[in-house]
Amino acid sequence: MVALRDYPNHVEPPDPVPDRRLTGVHWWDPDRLRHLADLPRHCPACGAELTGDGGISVEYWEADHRVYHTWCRSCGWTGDIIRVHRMIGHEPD
Amino acid sequence: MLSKEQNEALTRVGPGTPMGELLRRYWYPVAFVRELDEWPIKKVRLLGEDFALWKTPQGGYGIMQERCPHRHASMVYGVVEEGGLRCGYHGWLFDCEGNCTDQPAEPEKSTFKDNVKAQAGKAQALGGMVWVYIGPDPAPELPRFDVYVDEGFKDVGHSMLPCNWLQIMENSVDPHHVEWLHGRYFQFVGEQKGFLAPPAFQKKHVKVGFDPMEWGILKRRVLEGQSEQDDDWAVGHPLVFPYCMRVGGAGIDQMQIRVPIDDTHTWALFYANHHPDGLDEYPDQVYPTDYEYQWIDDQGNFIVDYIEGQDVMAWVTQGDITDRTAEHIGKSDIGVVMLRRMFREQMALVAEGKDPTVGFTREPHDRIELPCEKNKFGAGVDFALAWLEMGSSRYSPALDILKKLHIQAAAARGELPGQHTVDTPGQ
Repeated sequence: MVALRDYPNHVEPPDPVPDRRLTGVHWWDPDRLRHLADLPRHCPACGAELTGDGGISVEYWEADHRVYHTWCRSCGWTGDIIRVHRMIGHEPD
Repeated sequence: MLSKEQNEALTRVGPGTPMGELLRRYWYPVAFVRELDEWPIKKVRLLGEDFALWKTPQGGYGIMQERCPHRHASMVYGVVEEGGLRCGYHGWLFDCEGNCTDQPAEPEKSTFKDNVKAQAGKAQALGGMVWVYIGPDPAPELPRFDVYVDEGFKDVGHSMLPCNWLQIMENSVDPHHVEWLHGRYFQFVGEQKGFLAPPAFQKKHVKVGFDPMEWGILKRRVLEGQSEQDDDWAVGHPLVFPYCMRVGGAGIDQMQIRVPIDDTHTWALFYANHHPDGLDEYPDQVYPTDYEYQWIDDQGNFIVDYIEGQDVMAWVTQGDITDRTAEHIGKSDIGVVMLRRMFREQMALVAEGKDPTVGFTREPHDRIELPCEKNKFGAGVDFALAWLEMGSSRYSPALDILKKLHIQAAAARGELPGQHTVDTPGQ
């Protein structure tokens, strides 16, 4: 099938810039993959999947802690999940 | 940090995408009334789709898919008639609902036209702009925010920016950027170029807060030397979901509008209404003053010696669609985190066939007042003049009129320039 844009007189509006940023291999990939591997996959309240359109989990840092701000579409649970490496009391922000 | 799939879901605006479906529940400004008075048809790209927008002889507006359903010639090169928009190629006529009402070359008794329907949206004028809705019926009400309907002198700077709209919106829930981008960085640029950047922009944020509200997210801050009794915290100003932010002070109300053209382009407008206390009448305007603000120079460098130019630099240099799988965000970015969650919640509602619950109304109304600090900037004419000279208004052909208007108002109030300390504009 001949695509419309194959005709020399066809003027197509400029396409959006290709999605190169989300598909390339980057020097920071190992770090990125490590963080992605830690993203919560299930709601801590109801166990529903958070991936896909099941909710959202956004990682942010608070001092040494990585915090996953999470919302579950299934039960509406909203809260922060914190990955803990050491139990320390009275740690400053 | 977000997963790649979440970043995709939050940034893609085309038809059939989760965000695209959410965004199609809202009205967008796509043209100035002035433009369609000068030529009655305009090509419009919105949310990754192309349309022909036209002004009807009766004074209304219509919007339909750009390509004629017949053989795909552009309807932008059509003929405006009382019955709608007629294709310039073979004369097919479409009304404002997308119905094909005439096919002149077909046999007279043919019912072919009854089997053809174009994709059509809704269009109407508000505040000197033409707004369109391209989502499913029934269309919600077009929110008539205070900035668009209040009396005053209206001035609109605009430019097409090569980046995804979400990174601009995330800037609106990031108060800390003010003390750096418009504070320290502005100071540095001033030192290099030989001008004095306003020191008040460098004030440290002591506390920031974000509250969900009917129209979006109310952003609050306490700056060094302030308390929670100050307007900055007590009143704040809102991100207006899903694509605007309301700021103001010193008799200037502004809506910052970010229209998602497609995944990698955003039409960014600064719509300001000037109505300082002390004036009852304003200079005559047939239309709002509209103009393009400059953000890149002849050498391809960003223009960073004014506030909005600094913002544009930060938005665009993140990339066409910033890679959020590789970002490192912290406690100071919790407004951004909250906005992403709000988008995800609203996307889920739409996916379930429901209306969004934020920034959306089906209630007819005359005017919607948004919360916005009034005594934010030490106020006064000095702030207004600084806003005009250090913001995108510096490109306005009405700059002198605006300065005069604010000085006359100050005189009527018994206030003189130089009496106030110019403080931090909200961003």
